[in-house]
Amino acid sequence: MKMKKLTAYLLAAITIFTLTFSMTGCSSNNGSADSSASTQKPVKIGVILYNYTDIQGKEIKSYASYLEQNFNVKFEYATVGQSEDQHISGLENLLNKGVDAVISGYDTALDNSIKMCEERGVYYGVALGDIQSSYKGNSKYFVGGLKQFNGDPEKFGETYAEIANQKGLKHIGVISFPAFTFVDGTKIADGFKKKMSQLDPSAEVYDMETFMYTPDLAKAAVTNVFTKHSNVDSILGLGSGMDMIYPAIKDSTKPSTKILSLGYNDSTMAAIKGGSVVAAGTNNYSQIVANMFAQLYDRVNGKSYSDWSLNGTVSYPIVTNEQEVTDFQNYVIPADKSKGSVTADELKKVMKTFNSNATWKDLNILTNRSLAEIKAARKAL
Amino acid sequence: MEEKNTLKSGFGSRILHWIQNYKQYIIQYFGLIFVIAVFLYLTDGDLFSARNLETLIRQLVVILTITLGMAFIYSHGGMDISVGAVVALSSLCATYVMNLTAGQVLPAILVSIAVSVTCYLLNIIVTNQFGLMSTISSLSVMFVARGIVTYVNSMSTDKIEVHNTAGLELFRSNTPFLIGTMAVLCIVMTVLFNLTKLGKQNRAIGDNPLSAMQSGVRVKKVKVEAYVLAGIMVGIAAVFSLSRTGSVSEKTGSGLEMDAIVALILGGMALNGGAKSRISSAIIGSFTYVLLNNGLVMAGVDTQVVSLIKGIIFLIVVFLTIRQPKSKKVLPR
Repeated sequence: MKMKKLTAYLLAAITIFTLTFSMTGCSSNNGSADSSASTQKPVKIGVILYNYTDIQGKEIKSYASYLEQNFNVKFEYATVGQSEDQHISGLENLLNKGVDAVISGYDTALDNSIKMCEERGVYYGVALGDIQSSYKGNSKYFVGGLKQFNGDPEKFGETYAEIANQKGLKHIGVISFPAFTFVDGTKIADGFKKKMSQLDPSAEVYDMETFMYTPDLAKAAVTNVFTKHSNVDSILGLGSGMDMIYPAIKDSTKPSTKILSLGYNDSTMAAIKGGSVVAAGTNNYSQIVANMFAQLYDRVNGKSYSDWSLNGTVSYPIVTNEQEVTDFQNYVIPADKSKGSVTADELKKVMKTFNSNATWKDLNILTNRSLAEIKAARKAL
Repeated sequence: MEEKNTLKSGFGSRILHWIQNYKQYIIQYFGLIFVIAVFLYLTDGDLFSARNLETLIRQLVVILTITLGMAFIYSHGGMDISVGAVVALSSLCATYVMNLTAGQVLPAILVSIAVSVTCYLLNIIVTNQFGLMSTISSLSVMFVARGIVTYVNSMSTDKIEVHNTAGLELFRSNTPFLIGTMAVLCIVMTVLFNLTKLGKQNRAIGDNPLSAMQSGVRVKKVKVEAYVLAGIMVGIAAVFSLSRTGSVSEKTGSGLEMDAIVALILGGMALNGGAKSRISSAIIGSFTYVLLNNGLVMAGVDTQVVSLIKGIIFLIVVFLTIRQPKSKKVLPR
């Protein structure tokens, strides 16, 4: 009996070893099998995200994989928690893997992250947000951030107001993350409110309710809106709108309340078809990775744009009907990225490494194309 | 033939008996050696490259400092889940002090320790006075500390960060200083744990509080002393954490409580406390935990399965350590 236990312990140890070994992808074919790949050592770019299991993480990884097939680049991934220390640990681990550049999703512990990258001569960029004006550093290893919401959150809010007005919405609650965690949320809400008052003076946009990241607190925020304003016909859901606020509305006492939402997930098509979601939108993940990759790849190769500035711009496609959702699926998140928002050939044209006349402005025009522009470009091919 | 079997079973039984007796040591050291061996192999030796060793030391210092303090709480049967929030609050106060004193580190360290000790005193006073489980009182301290940090962050228009980080460089990147500090802390805490009345009485309380009290141990006082010690260590850890990040947000320190618990368990710490608790659990466990985290990334393990592997390792260690002893060496509680 005791021997059996001893054997069980040994088996457990062997299982762990085998599992770890098998997941590292150790094999004789570890290197790139692409015959077109350069014989030069590939540029290694690290990516830092909270997870790679939601649509954002999956799409970022998928587009990075497309880049690996078309450029001499290899991506390394690190999953980090939300605290500063976890971010720094994730960055340290990537740096020790010998990356040449890092795409961080977030501006967590920004100064110290840049300092660490400087010490190792590694380039660093923030993909999912812009760098605030309060940033005073001027490291040559920092390529800056990306402005979301087409570069103008207030104007973006106005677009949502136009959609709300077209749909005849009159009594609108607003739910977002707290302003200190989602600065753009407040700007979007301001733009929305201002535009609604111009378009329909009789419409009411209520004060913003906030919640901190969890579905339970999203439910509480929705309940608060319904309790305070019994005549609410719709909610502008800015913080994880599709993932948290939409389900909270469905679980509430007023499930027929419509939502104008930020975010996109697998239920968006059905929700738009059913009319419960009036508008949804999300980052264009390919554009985000393309913009950051182009800058970092150029810098590693000793090139940089003369017209560079701290924040680039990417678009934020909005879908309001089934056709737009289909277009979104075909051109923003297609499985075959060569039919998506930014193709390798398009990108090479705006990268200094491949085109000495390329400008930073060109890059940002390419990565800020709207859904309609992307569709037109693909159809023209 | 029979004689041979008897010999065989006698030898096997002796080995198993030895394994049973030294199970915790085996788990402790075998776990560390196993993690080192696996990742040295998988990383082609890069795990112990000069660059990665430096990183490992930087990552180790915060968790080791915390677990050294936590060992005293766990050894008397207590449990603390407020450490992440307390680190956040202490870091926050240290940041403000540094910004007020043009980057002076010493006042920041003292304030950080004072804040942390206050939190831990509150924790144990609630436990002692109201007879609450230590987990529940630490939960309330966690909410209060995290609440303060979140509120202060929400009131601030800019990021809360140290403006002059020059003083913190020593704590962030000076490897000899980090090694020296860890060595001193390990020695001091080992002496306190193994050779002083405080350590011995803590373990006695962990085995059986009633017996300990009847033997003359002032249970409540010893627990307070253990919490003060843990508070001091967490306060120091907060400064190391701040030196790594340079800023404080509502997320600072989140998950640290679990990191500390996992590290202690990986080190073979007896969850119920008592005579089998050892300070080496904190040291070996912290090393193992940091090596595991670092090694998985260095070895290129798919990010989707990192948690799975960690979870399996954790489960196995818990399975090996938490089983009730069949012997009657431990007194009834």
